[in-house]
Amino acid sequence: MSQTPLAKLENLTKDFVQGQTTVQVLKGIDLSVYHGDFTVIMGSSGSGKSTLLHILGCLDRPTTGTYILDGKPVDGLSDRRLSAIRNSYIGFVFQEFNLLPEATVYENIMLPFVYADLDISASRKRVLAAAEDVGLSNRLAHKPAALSGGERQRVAIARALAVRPRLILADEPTGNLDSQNSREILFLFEKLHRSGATIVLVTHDTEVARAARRTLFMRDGMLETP
Amino acid sequence: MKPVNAFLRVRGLLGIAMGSLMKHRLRSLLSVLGIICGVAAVFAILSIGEGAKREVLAGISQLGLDNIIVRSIGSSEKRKADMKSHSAGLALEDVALLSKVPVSVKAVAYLKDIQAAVTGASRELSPQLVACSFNYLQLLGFIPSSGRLFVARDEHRKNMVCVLGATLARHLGSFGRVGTRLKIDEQIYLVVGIIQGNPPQDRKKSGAVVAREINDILFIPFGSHVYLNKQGSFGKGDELDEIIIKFSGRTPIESVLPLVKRTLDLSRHGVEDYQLIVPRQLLRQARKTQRIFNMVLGTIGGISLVVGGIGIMNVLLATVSERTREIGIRRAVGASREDILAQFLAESVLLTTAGGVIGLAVGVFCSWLIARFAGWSVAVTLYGILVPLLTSVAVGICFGLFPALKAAGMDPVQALRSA
Ligand SMILES: Nc1ncnc2c1ncn2[C@@H]1O[C@H](COP(=O)(O)OP(=O)(O)OP(=O)(O)O)[C@@H](O)[C@H]1O
Ligand SMILES: [Mg+2]
Repeated sequence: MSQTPLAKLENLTKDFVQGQTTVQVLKGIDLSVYHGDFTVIMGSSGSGKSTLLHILGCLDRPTTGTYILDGKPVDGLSDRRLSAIRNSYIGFVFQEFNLLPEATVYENIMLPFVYADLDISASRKRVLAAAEDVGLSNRLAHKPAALSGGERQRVAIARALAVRPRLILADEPTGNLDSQNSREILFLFEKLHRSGATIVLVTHDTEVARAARRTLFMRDGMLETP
Repeated sequence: MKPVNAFLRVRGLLGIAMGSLMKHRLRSLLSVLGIICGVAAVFAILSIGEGAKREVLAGISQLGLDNIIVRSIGSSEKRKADMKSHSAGLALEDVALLSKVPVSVKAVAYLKDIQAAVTGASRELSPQLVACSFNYLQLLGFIPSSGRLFVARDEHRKNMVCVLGATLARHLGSFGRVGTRLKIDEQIYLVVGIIQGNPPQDRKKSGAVVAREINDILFIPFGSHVYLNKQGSFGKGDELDEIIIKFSGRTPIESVLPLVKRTLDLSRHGVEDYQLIVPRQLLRQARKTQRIFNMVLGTIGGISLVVGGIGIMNVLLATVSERTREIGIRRAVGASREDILAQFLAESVLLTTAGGVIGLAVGVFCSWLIARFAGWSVAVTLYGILVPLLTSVAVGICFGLFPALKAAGMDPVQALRSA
């Protein structure tokens, strides 16, 4: 394991302003994620887990504090740079799958490559490989509506890993699935982890948490190690 | 970014845009209806305007841009009652005077309208008959399509010969050929030539234009008309209907106009029994009218395009809020604000351009219908195609910009949270 963390948060806060009131959701987060880590974050609803994940994924900006990704500070980067980082460094997996309903499985997995500087044939190879990894090679022409919840989430995982991201961020990926499908998805994440992926996963499910090397608890905007 | 990737990205963009438009085919079609109508209207207006312009200009230039035409006013009966004591109408004396005007007059021609019946093979026709000076047809630039035009001798000797307009010649069948003899009233005239006026189209609608329909006319040399029944008997056989003065190319027509007028007034004690037609002035007027016509109708077309654009914007705004989550997803996988902006702009432009193309097709069809059933002449120009097309692209950009900015400005996290 490398000594420099892949992602390093220092004293990070996030405020949400809603009308007159300001809600501080993250209240000084210190977190280092190293290459090859499988980190699970648990915590009660509304404690700020998703917010933290969005900041880790450069989808949102912290109010104060620093975020160093791969040795470079992310603060103050332009939208274009952040988008490029999301495109090539980050793979998101959401609880609600977030697939494009009108697009086929293949097109959904292809989506990140629309915004990448990679030629078509190389992109296509990666899409097919990712579909193979999640076991959906035979469903490429289907639309999400024709798939089960577990399969949909596998499409989302394929989309996230097809670009070979440095960091996979999963926000309650099993939250909408029954236990059988949850186990399959969890198995997939373990497989990814074994092949060297760096994963940060938010969950309520203790069974999922057991698979991780490291579990952190989010309580009232702060991270605690149990 | 490498150019290849830029190209791929643009192509990908069009693909995305096309895909989402095709998904909502009916809605897309309805939303561009305004554009379709606007473009069709603009196209039809431009092509009808161009057609009218060409008709008018052709009519005017047939009169000869270096010419001044003196045309007598009113029926000769009326003139007899009102003005006889002062003026005898246009006459050969006027021709003689005008030829001596001390400016660069190249030639003076004259003509007289004649009433007479022409007998062809079996049926009797009553075409327009014109007795003209021998140089009239040359002066207007006609070249015989067969046979010859008149020569000076024809006029001096009052030769009983005639030249036929092409349409009339066709109507006369076997009699409408050079070398045949036609019976005009009770006299026999030899056909010596046939002329084809250009353009051979119906020019009667452009009422203001004063050119004669050359193809329908039977010409005889001036002087030979005295042998015909209804002429000469009044003893007014040499009253003219029209005098055409041709100036050399570079003469400023406007400046010689007063001189022509004074010359004419000299012999008629101030009685204005004539009208001066200056084709060059008519041309200028026609151009001006045309510009105003284009501007007014262009504005109307423009307004309909703007209305169409507002319709597009309305639909796009609805689309953007409907597709909030899609925007969030795209942002999460790496789309920048510019990418989202470009996507929605591309959709808008694709939509309006498609509308423009459909509108052009509709416009072509409408113009064809108008040309076919209203008998107006219609002319399509590159300008008439490009203006509505480019306008529809511009409408796509202008009215797509606000919805696209709205889409691009969305906060990605909020967009993902939306239902
Ligand atoms: N845009 C916003 N404006 C105001 N408050 C917000 C905004 N986004 C999030 N919050 C608040 O921040 C808090 C943390 O939200 P977050 O989604 O991070 O919680 P979470 O830990 O992921 O909860 P859950 O387990 O239910 O997903 C919540 O109280 C939420 O209401
Ligand atoms: Mg959450």
